[in-house]
Amino acid sequence: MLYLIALLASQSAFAQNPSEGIQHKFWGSTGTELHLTPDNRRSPLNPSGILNIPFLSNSADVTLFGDIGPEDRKWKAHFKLRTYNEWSRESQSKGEVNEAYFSWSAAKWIDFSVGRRIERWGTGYGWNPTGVVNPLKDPRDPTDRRDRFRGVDQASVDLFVKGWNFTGMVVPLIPYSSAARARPVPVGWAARAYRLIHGFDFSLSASGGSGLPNSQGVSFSRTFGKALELHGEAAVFHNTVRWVPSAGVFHLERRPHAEVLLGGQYTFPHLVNLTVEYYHNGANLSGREWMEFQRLTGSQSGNLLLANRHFMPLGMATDYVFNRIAWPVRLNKLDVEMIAITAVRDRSSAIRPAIYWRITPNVTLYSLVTEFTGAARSEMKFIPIERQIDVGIRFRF
Amino acid sequence: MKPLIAIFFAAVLTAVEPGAKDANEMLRRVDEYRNPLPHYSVDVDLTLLHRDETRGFTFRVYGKGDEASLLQFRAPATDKGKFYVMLKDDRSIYLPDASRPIRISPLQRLVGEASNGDVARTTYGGDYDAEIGGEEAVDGKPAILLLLKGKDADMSYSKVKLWVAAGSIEPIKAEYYAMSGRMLKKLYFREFGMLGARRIVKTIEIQDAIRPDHRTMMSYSNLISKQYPDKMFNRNYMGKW
Repeated sequence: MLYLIALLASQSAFAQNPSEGIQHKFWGSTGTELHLTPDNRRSPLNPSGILNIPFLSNSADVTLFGDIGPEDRKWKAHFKLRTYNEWSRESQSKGEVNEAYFSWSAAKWIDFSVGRRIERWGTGYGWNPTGVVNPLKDPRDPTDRRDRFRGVDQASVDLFVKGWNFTGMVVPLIPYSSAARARPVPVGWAARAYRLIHGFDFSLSASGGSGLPNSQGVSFSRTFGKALELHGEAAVFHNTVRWVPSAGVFHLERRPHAEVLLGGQYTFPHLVNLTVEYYHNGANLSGREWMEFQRLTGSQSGNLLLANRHFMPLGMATDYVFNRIAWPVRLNKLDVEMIAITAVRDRSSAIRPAIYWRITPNVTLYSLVTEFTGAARSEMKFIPIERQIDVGIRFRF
Repeated sequence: MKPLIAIFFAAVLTAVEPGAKDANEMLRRVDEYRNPLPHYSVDVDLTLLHRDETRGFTFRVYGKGDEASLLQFRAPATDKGKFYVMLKDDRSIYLPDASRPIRISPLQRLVGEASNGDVARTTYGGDYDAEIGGEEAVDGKPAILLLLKGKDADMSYSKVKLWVAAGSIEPIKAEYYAMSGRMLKKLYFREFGMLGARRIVKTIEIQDAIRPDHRTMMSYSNLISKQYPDKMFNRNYMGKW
């Protein structure tokens, strides 16, 4: 994998071959990040530092993107290859194909695509209830600064009819390990209809089958005036299952639920941008279940193990508020950003200031600090680290 | 009495209309200097000149009449893979590191003194109505002042003062104003080139009205006439082609 990336990267960054009408371009990034994660020994999940969380870790990666296709864009082959190394107490290296697909524009109104592709459904910044085929993202760090997003394997068709864009896809969960190959391949499906209606970006979506949730959703966004944008998403899920604490044990419970996100962003003078979102997830723990979860962690060590397994940061409460303020101190040179996510139930927060400095047009140096605040047994104080400090540098080519 | 009022208004209207018509006709001619093609692609180079610092950015703009334009970021490498689409007044940006295309407001800016619209829009006619503001000399040469008023209240610039050469109607300079009446920036049409037998604008200098030492040079090249499919201007299609 490394050899292939190096070979392709050694080609010109934006090469063209006009004589054959086929263009190819390669681009990518490489970076390294240092993570400091002092453990939180007061967390009920990490009493006396039982989890033995490493204080220092490091990650480095190289990602290469490639596009090949004719100038008229009748077809396109695209890939995203990534290789990375994670180091803490021991070192682990891996290579992965995050995207590899072929798309064919059969006519002006119809496109076909097959392969692994990153999809981007929904309008929310921190969460995407309708993003059933999106890569997983962490609301504390919603951008993919390390190019880690990975696509889904799919075969899809896009129709463009009278201003509408209809997308239909089948999503097979292909087993890549030899042990799982004997079993039949589960296949899910997802569909979306999108249109710009009187300034509203409006989408309806649905998914089902094996491997994808049985869901229906709607999303919108619209700008008002020169500075305000409002957006929202809502989806219902019919076959969600979740581990729930009850009567001293964890049991798997079927939990049909709704997820709702409402938000907006406002641009103030000097391009200061404020984003505020409210998110509700009906599958998460009720107040009583959360109390039961807290009680379980204080009992037997077996329960502590299970509590650690079932604890999901920003996944324990039903309601969260997301705030982000970003200020380009010097446009295209120096940016500062602050993200704060608060669990409505216990007012505990994850607060993440960040600074990004573009040293040269292609090199960015950055630092992010995530601090968890709240009362002693609040959700954020359950997180077994005191804070996380990331310092990184990224070169794009 | 009523017929008299009707005659009065008819007289006023016929007196006003030719002026407005002339002004909008002049604006159409200005647009022909900026971009005479209804369907096109053009390369745009932006150079930021801020005191002791110079930075370069490259875009390709794909256009479909006054309705739609798509901006593809090509350099520097940190911006590669980004797209910006503008459908009349609806704007979305696609950032490869974000999890979805983002709807943005007119105030959010691309680079330097250039707003998104400055790069994505190559003409005035779709956004502004014109009237003649008088005759003035610019650098000793006779010029006509056109007063442009935004067709939509949500536009980045509510008013534009545009000076054109008296004979050729070539654009010379422009001043852009906010709704409050505050001047935001000045544009100078610095250089012209040829597209076939037609003279077109090649370089525009954008100057910040408050900080004159903040300038951006915007140069156009490789203007090509080509009709692109509607799907290219769909926000969900950004990054897929």
